[in-house]
Amino acid sequence: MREHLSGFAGRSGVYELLASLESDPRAAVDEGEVLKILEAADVVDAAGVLHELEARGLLMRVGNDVSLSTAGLKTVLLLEAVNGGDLQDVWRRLRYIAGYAGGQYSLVREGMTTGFFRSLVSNPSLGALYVCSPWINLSRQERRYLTTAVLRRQRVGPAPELFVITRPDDGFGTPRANLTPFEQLGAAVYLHPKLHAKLYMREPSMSGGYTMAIVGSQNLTRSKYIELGIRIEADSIIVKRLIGYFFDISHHSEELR
Amino acid sequence: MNDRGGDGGQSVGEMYSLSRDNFILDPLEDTDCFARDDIRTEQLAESLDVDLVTGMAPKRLMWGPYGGGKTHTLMRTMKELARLTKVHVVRIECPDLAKKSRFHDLYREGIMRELGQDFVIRLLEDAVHSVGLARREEMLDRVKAKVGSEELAKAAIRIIDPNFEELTLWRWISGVPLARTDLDDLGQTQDLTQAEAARLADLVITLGRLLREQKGETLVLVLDEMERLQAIGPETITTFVSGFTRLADPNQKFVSVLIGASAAVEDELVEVFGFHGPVASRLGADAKIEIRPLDDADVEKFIRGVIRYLRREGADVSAMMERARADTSEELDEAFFPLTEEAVLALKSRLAQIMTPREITIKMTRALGRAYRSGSSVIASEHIV
Repeated sequence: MREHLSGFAGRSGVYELLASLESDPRAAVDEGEVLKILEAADVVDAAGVLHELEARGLLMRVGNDVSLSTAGLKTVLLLEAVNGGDLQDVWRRLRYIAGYAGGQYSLVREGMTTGFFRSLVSNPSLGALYVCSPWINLSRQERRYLTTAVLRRQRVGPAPELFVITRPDDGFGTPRANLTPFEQLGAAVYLHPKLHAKLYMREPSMSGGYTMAIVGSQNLTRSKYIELGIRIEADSIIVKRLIGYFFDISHHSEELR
Repeated sequence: MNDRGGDGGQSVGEMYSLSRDNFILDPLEDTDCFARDDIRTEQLAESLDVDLVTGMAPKRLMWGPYGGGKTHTLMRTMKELARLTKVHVVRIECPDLAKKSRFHDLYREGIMRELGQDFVIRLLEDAVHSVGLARREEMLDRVKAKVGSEELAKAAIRIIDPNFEELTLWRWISGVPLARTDLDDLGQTQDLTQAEAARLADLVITLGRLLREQKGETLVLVLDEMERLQAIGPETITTFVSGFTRLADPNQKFVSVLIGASAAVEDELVEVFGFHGPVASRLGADAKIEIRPLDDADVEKFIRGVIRYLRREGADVSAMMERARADTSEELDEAFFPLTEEAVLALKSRLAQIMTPREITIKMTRALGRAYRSGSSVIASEHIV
């Protein structure tokens, strides 16, 4: 009876080779180089193991080179998880192969919060806005975007709901005056002294439309630091879960009245 | 998150014997909770099943205001349907599309991405293997007869080559641009980026047919948040009309299509699914289902249903109510607890004209937080915002 793939993949050198090919930026690697990787992992019959990897569809030939197949990629990712790898990262990469439920995700490196506020005007169907940031200091431009979006919406229907969580004005947090633009527009404002999360979300009005969230490092201030965030678009399920999280934080905050 | 508020450092859920710290319902995770009495998901599922057993592929359009529970209804209905018959359900949320987006973008970024490489390639692989080995020309004829298209047959047949990288086939069929060498390898003259919408819809239908033949399952596409097609301009909207017209065709028997689209009123419904357009006319009047806002009486039923679902198993509600009487003089009813009856009335009075499950659960959640922060063992009318 032929050995199960799980048994074969557990043999000395197999994981090392697959992991090496997976992290190699080249699409294919010279056969001699592959044999060296196996030999470095103390594989006695390197050519035999290479042949077996090909026969099992984990590796494929590209001319004289050897490349990791989709099955090989799946195998190495699962082995990485078993070997204590970052499960979230493995899951993300596996989902890329399998097709994943969810929306569009992109990295945001610059203009995170300004881009978010600009979207309030460029995608106007605003029903609810959620801002969670330890420090808040809107730029004039951001304030204009916010006011325009809310007033524009008020002309055609109920005003959007605004929710803000920030740090209290205790000499270290957000000065009360910086919250005025939100308060003037009827926002519910919550204060939490230990807040560190940064989260910006928007939901559409009754007519539906644009849904977006940004989770990242940047406060709602004119940042001079190196920042990174992830923008989530068109994934109403994850946004709904983030809204639940937002309110969980608000439960442990003081409400500004 | 139990560092402040409440009683003795309890979490919100612990303090009110709830299984979580808020009342927000997750359309995918909380399908067991369906707190609306006015929508019978089991009847919806049965009507879909009737279509399926008679050889049809049911198509439905669910519309109503955002937050009204369309996604929840669709996913709950799918769960009920899966009990009745063999279905392969794929929920596709409409991506954010640019003004000049085409049906191809929905096909690539939505439909194919959610179907996934494994699902699609295995279907094609099984189809190729099912025709048996033969000389190349004869085998190509057999695969062509199986999949119904020469170009798909030419691409799919490459699977039998042990050195063929199936990712190339996946990239082609999922609508990604391909290099000339990859196209030559697949026996194609061009990739699918410029393909007609109806042709792309036909590829999806072919996958549905193969699934039916090979596994006896019906492919059900739940195309959700389709009001986002509102962003598409006049130059390319016709491609969506064309693609959806093909998918919604009554003679199309292999892919069931359930569409969810938000619209506060009927006239707001996105043009592609407008009641006088070609897609709607193919769906037929019975296939259009309005998910209405809740009426006054339904709000109370809804609140009761949510509380019943989120209440911790084994919670001693009588004892909790007894303790709560020390904190409030308002009326208590086990079905609404931890809300008082006055809190329910206050909540109803503060709802906007359109009462949706989203709005109600957010108001309940905000009131829950206020009660927790004040250390009250009950959510009273004073906590309702």
